[in-house]
Amino acid sequence: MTKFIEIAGTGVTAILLHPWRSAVTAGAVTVVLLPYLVCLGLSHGLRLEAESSIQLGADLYVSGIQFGHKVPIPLVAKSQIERIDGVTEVVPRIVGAIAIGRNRESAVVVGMPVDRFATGASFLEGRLPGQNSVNELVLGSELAHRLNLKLDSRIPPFYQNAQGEKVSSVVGIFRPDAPVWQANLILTTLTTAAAIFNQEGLVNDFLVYCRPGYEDHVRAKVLETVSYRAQGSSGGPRPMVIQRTDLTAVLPTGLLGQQGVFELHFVLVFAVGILVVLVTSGLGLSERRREIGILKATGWQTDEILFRSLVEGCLLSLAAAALAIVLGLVWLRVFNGFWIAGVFLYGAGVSPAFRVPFVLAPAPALLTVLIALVVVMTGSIYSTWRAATASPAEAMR
Amino acid sequence: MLGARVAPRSWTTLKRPANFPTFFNIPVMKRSGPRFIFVGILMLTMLAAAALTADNLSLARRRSHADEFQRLLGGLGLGPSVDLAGCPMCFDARASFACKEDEGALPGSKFLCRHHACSVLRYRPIPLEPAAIHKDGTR
Ligand SMILES: [Zn+2]
Repeated sequence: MTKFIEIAGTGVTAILLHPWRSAVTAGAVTVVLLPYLVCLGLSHGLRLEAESSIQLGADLYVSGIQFGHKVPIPLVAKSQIERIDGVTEVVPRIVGAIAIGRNRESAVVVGMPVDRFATGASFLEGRLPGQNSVNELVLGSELAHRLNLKLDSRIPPFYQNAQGEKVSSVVGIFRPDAPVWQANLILTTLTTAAAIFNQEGLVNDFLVYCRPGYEDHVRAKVLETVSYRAQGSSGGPRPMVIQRTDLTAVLPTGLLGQQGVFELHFVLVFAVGILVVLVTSGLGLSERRREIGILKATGWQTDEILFRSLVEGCLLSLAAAALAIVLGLVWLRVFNGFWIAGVFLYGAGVSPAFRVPFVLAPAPALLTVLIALVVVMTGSIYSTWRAATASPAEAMR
Repeated sequence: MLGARVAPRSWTTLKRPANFPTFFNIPVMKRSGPRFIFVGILMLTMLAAAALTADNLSLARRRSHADEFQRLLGGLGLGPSVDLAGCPMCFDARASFACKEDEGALPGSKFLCRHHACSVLRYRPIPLEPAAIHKDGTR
C-alpha cells in the first residue's frame, strides 16, 4: 500500500515538474468544460421548468385545428366541454403575440377569466389584473425593463379595436425568479386580451381539468361531440386535444437528451482537447519523454509509470472540473448567465432581466468530472504509454 | 525510498538511486510544493461540492414561485424561447403544433430553424393526428 502512496506522491510531484504544462492542461480543459457545463446546466434547469409547466398545468388542452394549423376557437364551445362527464373545470385562455413600444418589443399576451385572478400571487410585485375602466396588465420583468415601465405606469392605447381603445395600467410586474416564460408576458383578463387582438368571442385553448382517471374518456368525448362549426356551415376547425402524456412525450429524456447542435460542437471541442493534452503530455514534450526514459532506466516498470501518470492526470482533471464547476456557478448565479443565456434562450438579451434557470447538480457536474477525466486521461495515458514502452535509450534521446 | 517487503511482483524490481526525487525523500522545503498542490486541488474540489450543495438546497425555495405561476396560468411555456416572435413552438408546443420553418415550402426546413438547432432543450412537435386515441378512449 505504501508503494502505491509513494508512486501516487510522485504523480503529485510530476505536476510541479512542468508547472506551465500542468497549468496549460488544466486551463485548456477548464475552458472546454465551462461552456459545456453552463449549457448543460441551462438545459437541465429549463427541463425542470418545462416539467413543472406540464405537471401543474391543465389535464387537457382543447384547441382547434384547420389545414394542419392551430386556429382560434369560439368561446361558446366551452359549454359543450363542461357537459362532458368527468370534467371539473374549463378555463378559456388566449395566448397571442404582439409588438409593443417604440422599438416594437415582442410580447406574449395571455388572457384568462378574471375570476381566476381572485387570489393573491407571490410571484409578482403588485397584484393580478381585475375588471376596470382601464385595461389592467401584469408585465414580464424583461418587458417592463425594456419598456421602462414601473408599477402603476400608464400605457396609452397600443392596439386597434373596432369598439375603441383604452388606456392600460401596469398593476403588477412578475418577479425575476418566476419561470422564464414570464419574461415578455403581458398577463391580463380574457376580455382585455380579446380587445387587444380585436377578436371578441374567440380563444386559443380551453384548459380542461378532469376528475382523476377521466382524462382519456374526456379526450375521446371531446373529439366525438365538440364542434366549432357555425350553424349551417359545413367547414370549420376540428377539435384537437393535448394530454399531459403527449407533452411529457415530446420532452427530451435522459442525461444527454437532444440538446441540439451544441452537443456536436462539444464532441469536436473535446476531440481537440484530447489532442492538446496529447501534445502537452509527452508526444510533443521531449523533456517529458526523457523523464520517463530516466525513470525506466532507473528501474521503474511500465505499470508504475502509467500509475504515476494516472494520478497526475486524475488530479489535473479534478482541478479542471472543480474550477469549471465553481466558475460555471458564478457565471450562472452571480452573473445570471450573462451573454450565454441569450445564445441558447431565444428572446433573452445579453443581460437577462429574469432569473436564468439552471441545475448543475448532480448530473451536469458529474458529467463534467467524467469528461475532464476522459479528455486528460486519453491524452496523457497514451503518450505516457508510448514513451514508457520505448527503450530508455530511445526515450532519453 | 520504495522497498520490496510487501509489494506486488511488478513493484519488487524497483532499484532506484537513493537520491531519486520522490514525494517522500525530497527535502522538506521542496516537499511543501506537491503538498500545497494536493491540498489546493482537494480544497477546490470541496469548494465546488459545497457550492453545488448550497445551490441545490436553495432550489426548492426558488421553485415555489414557479409552481404557483404554472398553477395559475394552467401551464405556460415549454421550450427555449421567451416570446412567440421566433419559433412559437419553441415557446410552447401547446401554442404552435409545428416549427415555423417547417410550415414553409422547403421540406425539412425545421432542421434550419435556429431555435431548435442551437437550442439547449430541443423537443419534437406534438403529433397532429388525434387518431392516436380511439373514440372509446383506448390508445
Ligand atoms: Zn422552429
